[in-house]
Amino acid sequence: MSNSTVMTLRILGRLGLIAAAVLLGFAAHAQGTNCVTLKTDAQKEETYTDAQGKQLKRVVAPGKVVPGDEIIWTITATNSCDKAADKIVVNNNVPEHMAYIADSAMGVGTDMTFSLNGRDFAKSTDLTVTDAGATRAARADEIKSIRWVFAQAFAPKSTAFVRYRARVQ
Amino acid sequence: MSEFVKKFDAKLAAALATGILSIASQSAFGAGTAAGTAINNTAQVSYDDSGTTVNTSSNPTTLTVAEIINVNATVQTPTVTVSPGAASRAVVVRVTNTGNAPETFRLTGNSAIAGDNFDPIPAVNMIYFDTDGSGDLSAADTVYAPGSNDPTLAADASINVLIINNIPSGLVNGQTGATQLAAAALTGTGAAGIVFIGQGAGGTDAVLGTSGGMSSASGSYVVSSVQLSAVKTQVVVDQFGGTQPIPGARIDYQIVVTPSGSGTASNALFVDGIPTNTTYLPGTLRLNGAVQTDAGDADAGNFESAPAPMVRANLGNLTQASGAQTVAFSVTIN
Repeated sequence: MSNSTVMTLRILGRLGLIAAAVLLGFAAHAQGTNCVTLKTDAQKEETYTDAQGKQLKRVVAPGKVVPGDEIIWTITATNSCDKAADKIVVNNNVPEHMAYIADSAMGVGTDMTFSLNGRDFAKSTDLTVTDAGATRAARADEIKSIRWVFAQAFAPKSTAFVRYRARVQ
Repeated sequence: MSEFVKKFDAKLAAALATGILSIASQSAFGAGTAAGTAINNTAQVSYDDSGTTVNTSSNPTTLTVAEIINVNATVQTPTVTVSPGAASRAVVVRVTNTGNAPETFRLTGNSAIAGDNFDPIPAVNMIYFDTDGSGDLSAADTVYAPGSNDPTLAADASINVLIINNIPSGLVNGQTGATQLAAAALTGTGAAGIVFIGQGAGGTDAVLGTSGGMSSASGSYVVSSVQLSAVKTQVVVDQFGGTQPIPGARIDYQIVVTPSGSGTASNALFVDGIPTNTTYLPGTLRLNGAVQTDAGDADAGNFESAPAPMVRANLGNLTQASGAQTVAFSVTIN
């Protein structure tokens, strides 16, 4: 049993929920994982030429990463339990040494907000920075954190991903 | 024309309008994240489990930044005015490590460049480091010996290199001869994207950037048998009738430009920056005694406030017969 499972059980216990709920929770967690698990993947986009000589793009393993490279971060959330998981919120801080690329975040069925400090989230167009007394729109590379709030619950055994791009500085 | 401007730059040590002499721009990323740096990413998720909010993290994903090998050579003296038969004339090239880790570079010079009028004759020691930063060959400069003192540059660091050539005799005005410096990364060169396994900083792999690990830059010698010399003098007049350089005092500058030798200096342009901590006194610009309006109009002289305050005077085509040209202007000390 993972630490987080133990923690979850402890929280449930403290809340004084009825035994049945605890047991149900235990049954779900007994599989050894949280119901919702998250996986991050780094990839690059590469241009290749197909058999017809057409230039196409595909996403590949990142290989050698050097300054200036654009990395596609994909975060996949999976509900591995036999019940729906609701109110799923995915958060990702843009990694250090990377700069978020404007308008690159996507997430089907999510409400996306962004933060300059990791605490206050807003639409990217509503983010402002005060620079030498003047207020201006925030630049993409000033975005430190991205949040995706899924509108719908995850059905049992379902999965969804969100994605954004960032450049190695 | 820019020759003449440069001459003033050296001889008057006056602040010139940088716009006129600006050379190449810097690369887009600078050196970037250092080779060997780990980029870590862990995402968080929260969800509702039977009324309880559960928080959990993803697997950490780590990318290790590899070394990118990039170099940029830019000429600092695109054209150098020389007289026929001149010895040991320098073209200055700046070599910048635009990669993200220290790299050592092999330098080579070449004066047999197609498309010019003559081939400069490489000096016995063709490449020097501009150790004293003078922009010209001087006793303090260190001679470059391939394989023994190949320069190692930190990421983003640069070094100024002198290419030294002698100028053949029997050339005529306006002829040009090009010389070139190439810098090649010792780790390797080739097509962008080639990977040198384990040869990067800290055991990372090294990847050739867009430069392919090498870069070259060339400059030209331009034959001009007319030489322009300039002498600048100043007189301080303070507001109390004395000569103390105090705030409010006026400085009257006079610059005498003298052409000598044979040939014509075409469209000679005089440019002199207004010294810092002083302000140009409007209406004081004179060319050979004649008042020049400050506006950029039909007369030869004008004052410009941008990009940096300066006075300019178009001296036209100068020969020895033109005689000395005298430019005068005044500033006040702020």
